[in-house]
Amino acid sequence: MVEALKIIKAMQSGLRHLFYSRVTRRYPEVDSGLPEGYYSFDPKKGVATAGWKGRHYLEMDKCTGCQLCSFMCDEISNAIIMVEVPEVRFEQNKKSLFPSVDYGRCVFCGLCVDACPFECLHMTPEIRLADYDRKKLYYSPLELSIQPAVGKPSYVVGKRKERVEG
Amino acid sequence: MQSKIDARAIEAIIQSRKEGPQPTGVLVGKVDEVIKPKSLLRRTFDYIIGEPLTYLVNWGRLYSLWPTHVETACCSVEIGASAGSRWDIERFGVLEAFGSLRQCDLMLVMGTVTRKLAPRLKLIWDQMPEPKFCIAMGACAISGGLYEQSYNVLQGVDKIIPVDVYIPGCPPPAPAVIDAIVKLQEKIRCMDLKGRVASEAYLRLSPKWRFR
Ligand code: SF4
Ligand code: SF4
Ligand code: SF4
Repeated sequence: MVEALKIIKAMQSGLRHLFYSRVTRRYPEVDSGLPEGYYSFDPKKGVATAGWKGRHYLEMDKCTGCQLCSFMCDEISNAIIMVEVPEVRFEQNKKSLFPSVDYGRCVFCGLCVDACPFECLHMTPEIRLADYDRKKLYYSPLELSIQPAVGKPSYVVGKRKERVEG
Repeated sequence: MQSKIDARAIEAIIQSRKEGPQPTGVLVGKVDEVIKPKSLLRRTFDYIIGEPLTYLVNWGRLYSLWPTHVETACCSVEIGASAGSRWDIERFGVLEAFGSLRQCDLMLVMGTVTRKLAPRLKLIWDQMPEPKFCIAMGACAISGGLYEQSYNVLQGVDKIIPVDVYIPGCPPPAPAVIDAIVKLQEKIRCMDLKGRVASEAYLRLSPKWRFR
C-alpha cells in the first residue's frame, strides 16, 4: 500500500510539470528576447549607455580617421585595421581612413567605442556573426556602416546626437 | 606612427565584396565534377534513388550532431549555458556530454588551444569517423584572440584541422552558438552521400548579408 502511494506521488510530481510555463526560448523561430540597446560612449560626459556588445556600427559621416580606436585595440587583440576607402570622401576625413574590424580577433570588449572621441563607433546587438569562411569575418568599413536589423540605437544616428525617448 | 594599411586586410575586403563565397575546406567537391553533364541513365538514377537517399542520409546527419567537447578554456561556460533549459541545444540534436569519440561527428573547440594541446586535438580529430564537422568557438580558437603572437598558444585551430563554422565572440553568447549550429545544418543539407558539399549548392549559402 505504501509502495503504491509512493508511485502515485512520483507520477504526480512529474505530471505537475505539464502545467508549468515553458522556460525554453524557441530561439531561431522566435526572437531571443534579449535587451536591444546599442552600446555607445559619450566622451563629453564620460558616460556609457548600457547595451549588448555585438557587431560594431560605424557612422562614416562622423569618423575623422584619427586611429584612436585602432591604437586602443592594438593593446588588446589587434582586431582593428585602418583601411583607405577611396570611394567614400568626407570633409572631416581627408585621407579616407576608416576602421575595419576582424571579428576572428575581436573580443568584444568595447574599449574602441570608449576611445572614440567623436562618438561614431557603436556596438549593436547583432551577435549572429558565425560564418563558414575565415576571410568573411573581416568587416570592411562599408559593411560596418550598415545598421543591422536588430536593436535600437540609444541616439538618433546620422544627424545631431539626441537621446531617443524610452 | 604611420597609418596602418594592411594589404592582407584590403585583399580580404575586396574578396568579400565580390558576389558569392569562395568554396574552401576539405568538404568541398571539385567544381568540374558538378558542372560535368551527366548521362540520361545517371540522371534518372539520381532522380529516383540518389536524391531521396541523400535527403534521408542528410536528415539523419542533421539531427544527430553528437559533439566532442574540447573544453579547453572559458568558452565552455557558454556551452553549458546553451545546453541548459533556457536555450537548450538538444533541440537541434546536439547532446551535452557524450560517451565515445567514435560515435561523435561534431567537434566543438571551445577556447584557447595551447601548443601542448595541439597534437592531442589532432589525435582526437583523427579518431572521429567521417563525416565530421568542426566548430571553432571564440576568438582564441579562431585566431588566437587575446593571446596574439603568444609563444604558447596556437594561432587558430584551422592550422591543424579544417573548420566548418567560425563563431566570433569572447565568449559567443548562447544565441550565437545556436545560430552557428543552424548554419552548420544548412551546410549539411548541401552535402552529397560521400560527405562533400557540392560547390553549386554551397554558393547559395551566404550568411553574411542575411541581417535579421
Ligand atoms: S571591441 Fe575590443 S577587441 Fe573588438 S575591436 Fe574594439 S577594442 Fe578591439
Ligand atoms: S571610429 Fe572614432 S576613434 Fe576610430 S578612427 Fe573614426 S573617429 Fe577615430
Ligand atoms: S575567446 Fe575569450 S572566452 Fe573564449 S577561451 Fe578565449 S579568452 Fe576565453
